[in-house]
Amino acid sequence: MTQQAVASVSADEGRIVVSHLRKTFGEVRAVDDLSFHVEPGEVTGFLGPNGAGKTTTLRCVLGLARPDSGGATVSGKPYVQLRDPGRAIGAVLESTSFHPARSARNHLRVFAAAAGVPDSRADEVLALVGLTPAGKYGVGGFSLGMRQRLALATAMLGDPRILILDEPANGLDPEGIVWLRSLLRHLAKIEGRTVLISSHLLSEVEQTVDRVVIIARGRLVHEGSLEDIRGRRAASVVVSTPTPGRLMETLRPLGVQVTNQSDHGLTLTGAPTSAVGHAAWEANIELHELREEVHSLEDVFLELTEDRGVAAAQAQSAPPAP
Amino acid sequence: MKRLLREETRKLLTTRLWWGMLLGALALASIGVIAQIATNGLRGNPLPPLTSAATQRSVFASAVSGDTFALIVGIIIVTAEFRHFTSRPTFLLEPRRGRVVAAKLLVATALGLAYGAACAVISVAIAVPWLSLKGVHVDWSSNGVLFVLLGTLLAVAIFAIVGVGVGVIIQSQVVAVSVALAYLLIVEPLLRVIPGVKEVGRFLPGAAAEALTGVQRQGIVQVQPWQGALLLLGWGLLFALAGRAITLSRDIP
Repeated sequence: MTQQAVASVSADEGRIVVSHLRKTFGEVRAVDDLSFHVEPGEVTGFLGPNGAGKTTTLRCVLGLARPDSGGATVSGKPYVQLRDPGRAIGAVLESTSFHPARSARNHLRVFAAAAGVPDSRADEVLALVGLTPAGKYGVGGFSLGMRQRLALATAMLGDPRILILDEPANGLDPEGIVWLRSLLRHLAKIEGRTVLISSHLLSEVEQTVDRVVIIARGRLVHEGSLEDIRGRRAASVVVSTPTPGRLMETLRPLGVQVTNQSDHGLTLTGAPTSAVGHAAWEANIELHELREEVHSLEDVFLELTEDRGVAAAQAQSAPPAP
Repeated sequence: MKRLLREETRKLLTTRLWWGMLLGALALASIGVIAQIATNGLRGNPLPPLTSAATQRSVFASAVSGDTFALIVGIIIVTAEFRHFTSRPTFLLEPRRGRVVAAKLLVATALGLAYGAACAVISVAIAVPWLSLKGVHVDWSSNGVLFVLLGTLLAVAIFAIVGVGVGVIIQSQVVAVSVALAYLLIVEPLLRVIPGVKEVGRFLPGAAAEALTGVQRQGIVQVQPWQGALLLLGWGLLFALAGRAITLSRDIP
């Protein structure tokens, strides 16, 4: 019994589990029955369009906001029950949290005291994010990118097992984004930490994340590996022919669906290029073009999040029955 | 709690707030003392001459006006967190919100005692040489001024605690400071002249602070100094507890 309990605690170490989380602001359901989990050793992307409920979810995980129902655990415990939260989890939240008159180094020393780590740690994290030369200056004069770095340094003070970053790429220059990407990969893949980053753009985190949790309008629309998403990319076949009508007739028995049609061509799904070419050759149909078109990941992401959005918007704006 | 106290002390010492407010407190305290000595004996000042013990108590007690800045510093210790969103790292590193409030109350107490001591010292530094220049003998053993100085120290210190309480309830800095000043300078003085309210008026925070120095003003009913101290402390803690239960139980901005 005791051994089981110990085993379950260590199994939860470094995990974030969100279960049936619900949070409303007035009439708006910001987060609606959301469940997902985040595992150690990988970088998880938390994705969704603006206003999907990402920040609200993260704030509930971090104990800053109280859910209406459901909840979240960090390493097996609700956030408020963490006894040494600075070592368990560090967070970089969207808008920056600094007193403008306090120097970067003093800011870190304030929260080093709060996290119970020695002052030398403040200088370590300052160096980690490349801000050592700016350490003595007031944060009020910092650029957005420097603030993001300082926020990351603050989150790293307690050397946390889990790192949460809300829209970390905001304000970073391309060089900074590359730097952040390799740092996060290192923290997760080499050091085995849990890394969760939110973004409204899949392309922004595509090269960083192993797994994705996609939400729209407060609900989960997809949870899985990035490979899953790649697999969902439906390939379509683009054909040009002077006789599109005849080609459609010929292909119908193959279960092919036409997604787009013009005077000279068709866009099809449901059959590979080889099958389309063969059928056309057998029916003696002249083809001018036959090629495969692969959708980008962003298309899949948009499809996943928009369907949901459009359906919900229609449900909301539906006129009352006459 | 040790971590929280280190954190809060560092927050206080790494911005210019504490000494800016200290200068303000010293300025108000000095003006009070200077005005009392300078106007003594002029037509329209009903106080007896400076040689009387009552007048001497009144002179030193006017340094208590520095408490306004102790109140404001107490408020800002809390509201600055919400204004600059340092509330986030603060409550991320200590999710038990009541403990954060407790740490702020303790740090405010220490700061308030320092402010109070500074106000008492400056009243002595101004009044003693000036009075001796005027040839007025100050008899420390019998005039009760030492008691007045202690009252000043405590009134200023406890006002810093009250400030923290106000800040926890009203998290907006501008609103909290405006409401506190408007109450102390306008609302409470008005309330206390309404006939029916006069009697209970002595239990209000401003009256409790005045009672602390034990200096009686004409026509004003006051509690005993020690009662004033407990009453004012009670107001501060009540505000802090109410703020923790109501405002601070909501989502952290």
